[in-house]
Amino acid sequence: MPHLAATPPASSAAAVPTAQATAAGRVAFRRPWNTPRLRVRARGVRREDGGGGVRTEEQEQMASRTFYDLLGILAEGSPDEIRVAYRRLALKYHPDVSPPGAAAENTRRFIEVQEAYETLSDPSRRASYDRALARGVCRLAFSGRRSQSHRAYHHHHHHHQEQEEKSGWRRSWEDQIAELKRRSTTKDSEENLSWGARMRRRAEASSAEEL
Amino acid sequence: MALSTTFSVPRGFLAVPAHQDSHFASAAEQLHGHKLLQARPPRPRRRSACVSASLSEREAEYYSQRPPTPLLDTINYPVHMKNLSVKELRQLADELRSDVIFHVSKTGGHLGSSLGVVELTVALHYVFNAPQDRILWDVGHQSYPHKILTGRRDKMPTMRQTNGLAGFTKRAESEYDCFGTGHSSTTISAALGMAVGRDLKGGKNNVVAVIGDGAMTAGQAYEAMNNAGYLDSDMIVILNDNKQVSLPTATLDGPVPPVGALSSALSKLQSSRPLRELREVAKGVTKQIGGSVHELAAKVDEYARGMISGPGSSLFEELGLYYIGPVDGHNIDDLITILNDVKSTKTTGPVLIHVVTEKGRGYPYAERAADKYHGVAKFDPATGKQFKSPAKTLSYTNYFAESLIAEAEQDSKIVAIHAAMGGGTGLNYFLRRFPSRCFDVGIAEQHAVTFAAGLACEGLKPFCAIYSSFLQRGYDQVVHDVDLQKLPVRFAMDRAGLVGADGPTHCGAFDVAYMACLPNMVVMAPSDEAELCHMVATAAAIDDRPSCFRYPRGNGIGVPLPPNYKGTPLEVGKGRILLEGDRVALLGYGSAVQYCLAAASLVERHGLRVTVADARFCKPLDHALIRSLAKSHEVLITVEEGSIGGFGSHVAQFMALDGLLDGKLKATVMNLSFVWVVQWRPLVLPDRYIDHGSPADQLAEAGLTPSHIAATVFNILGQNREALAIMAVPNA
Repeated sequence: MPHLAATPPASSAAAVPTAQATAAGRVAFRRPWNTPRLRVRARGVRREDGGGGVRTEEQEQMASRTFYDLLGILAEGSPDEIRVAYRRLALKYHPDVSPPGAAAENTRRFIEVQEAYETLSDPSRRASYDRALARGVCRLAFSGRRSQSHRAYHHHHHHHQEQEEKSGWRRSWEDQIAELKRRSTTKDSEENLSWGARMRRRAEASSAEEL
Repeated sequence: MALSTTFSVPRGFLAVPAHQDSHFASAAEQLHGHKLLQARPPRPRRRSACVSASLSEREAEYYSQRPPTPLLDTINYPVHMKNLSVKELRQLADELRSDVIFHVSKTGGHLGSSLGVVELTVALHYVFNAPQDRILWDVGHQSYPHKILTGRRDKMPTMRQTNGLAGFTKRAESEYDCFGTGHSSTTISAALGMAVGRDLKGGKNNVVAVIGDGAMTAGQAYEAMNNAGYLDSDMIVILNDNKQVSLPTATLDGPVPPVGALSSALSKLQSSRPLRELREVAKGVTKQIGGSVHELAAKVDEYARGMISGPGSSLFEELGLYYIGPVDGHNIDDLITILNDVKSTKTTGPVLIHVVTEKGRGYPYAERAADKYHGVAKFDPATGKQFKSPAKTLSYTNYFAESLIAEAEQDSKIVAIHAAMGGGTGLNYFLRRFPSRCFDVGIAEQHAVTFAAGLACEGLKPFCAIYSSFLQRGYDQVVHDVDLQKLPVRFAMDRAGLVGADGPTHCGAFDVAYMACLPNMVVMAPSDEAELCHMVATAAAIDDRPSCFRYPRGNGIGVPLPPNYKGTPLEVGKGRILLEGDRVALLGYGSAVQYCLAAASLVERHGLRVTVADARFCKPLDHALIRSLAKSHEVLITVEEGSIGGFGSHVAQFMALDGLLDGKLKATVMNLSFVWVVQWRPLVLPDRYIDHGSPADQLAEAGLTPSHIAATVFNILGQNREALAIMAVPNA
């Protein structure tokens, strides 16, 4: 599939879409497969800065499939396409129609497909899933836990969403802190005429005198 | 002040834990026998967003017995936290949270806001060194975890009670409370003052102000940020964003969406995904250029940052504060990392850290409640049910809301305005009935008043329902925008007089003084709930000048009400006589009339029948009533639950100007002429702030109980023995 990391830029350039109005009226932007190209470079930059171990986890997740892969459709598929794909796969993997030997495997796939459909058929959930993909926190399609009740599943789902949002936050403020530190080295240069800067320079000067 | 230990006490070896409660004493003793490093006591269950935790217990979703708090027991002051690991800090936060819940369940108070900042409190006290480092809490009532961690845990059972802990931060209570708060939006200003003071003195401590997103709707926060950006002094502002802008955080029908455009800007900040990729590209580009392009890279980053930062952060950046965030406010690791980073950076200027929290976090009932358990009575922790004693009458707030609705049914021009206090003013009921005629402007009293003035210009009939003490903030607008132009804005001042557990920050002592001195204002006060309904109608009818009325906190006394709460307008400037008697006249204003009636019955036991009158209006005064009372009684006592300069002063002014105090009153009894001067005595709130406590205690402290009034009567008449007899009986 075009959006995996190994793809050379050329094909993803071809696959870069313009804004498309989908059936749901959403303007599709920031295709997931753009992200890997930039992420790779970004990762290169970050490692020089001493990136954390979070990256390896992301890379691992990048290698797994997304919901779109699962259903075999393109990321800007219309709701009808999603429904058709879901039905096709559901019929294919439903435990009742699968041969006895493959029942367990098919059941698992069926549940995966169902999860994918539930996410992608709901426009708001699909939107947030797309955002998560775009951020590169590529959601592993399946949670480890098998939630028993529907309600618990939804809560877990939202919890999962929140977690990703928050890890996105972490990168954001880490950058901001780095910027703050960098800025502070030049903050009290002579050009800064603010009252605070003057007081700080004066304090520096007097403590330097004392030493 | 309590002594603070200056060395870290080895955990597990405290002879007496900081707090011990009888019903888990044995468990606590067992735990203290172990060294904490070896035996990890079972941690309280983690409260996560998953509901799965609740499925295990059928009805109760929280502990019914207080869980042990072994780690918290070893912390008396923040210095004791310094050696804890981050994992232990998380445990401490859990224990602190359960401690807050159990304490508030016993005393009542504010709960939701405290729960939202448990992690933040722990992180702040861990990273910073209070009290040298100044930590200011704008939302004073979220300081319960702060108080527990700063040496007041053993006093938590006295929270909000007479002679107990204050429900807000209070400088006189502890050196760890740097600034007293109660009205919001003041801490950035105060923190800036402390930072500048530190700079002038050459100090090196940190200054941190914690302010909520609700408080950001007030102008003073911007005034302060603007100045902070200009002065560029080092300080940290923590914006605690829980998307709760109004109180009590909900309408009658569910959670209230945050008021104002600012909140949507803040939530955009939370959900903004800055074009990080573009920024990474920018970084990559500068790296490739390489060499000494440090400044170029900085410039590129600056541009990129300006381009890609969320739409709201630029507001803070433009004001001159460095924006960091959003940050998960319930993740102690993140908080500690950020705070340490900022603390260790030498020159930062003002920094704003945008922390996102959830009000009521960690207590399932609070998380789910529409009002997030903002303020609660005593409750059962296991079930979350509050113990509200049934009352025979509704609160004055309810009666006000009902009668305003009754007026608005008949007059479509009536609109209501409040400042983020839909529940406290009762206007949530009005909102439900007239959704488009009720305006919540956020915590912005100044704007509310002038906004009402603008409405009045267009012929509408605005009712501004703002607490007496909060209206102080909008006083210039009352004078300049409303009174000077004689615009018919009606002010409904709830919580007038002493307010009980909230204390002096919420006490409405001054409204009679500051309203009655305005030339065009009609100032009135109901003595009971029926009078309140009539005064709402009167205010609605006064259409040529501003008017106001004040009513206290508490429930009605149980008088017959007009049908459907629809009052009839009173004659302006006319009081009424409730009891006829002789020699002494008690002229009460507002709720004090009830105390006068009670005093009259006390006095009657000693054979004296006094006159009790209800002035109803402070402006315009009922001159005829006062003259007749002065001329037919030896003693005239005015009683009000307000400060000096209020009703009593206006009566005195009138009597003096009218010659009633000149000793020329004449009466002829049985052909004998008597000339006397009426003895006038005012009973007002004393010239000092009355601390929080139960309403009865506060009234006794103020000297305005019926017993005090009755004793005053006898003292003036020279019957000291009777006066002492009355005062000797407690709460007579």
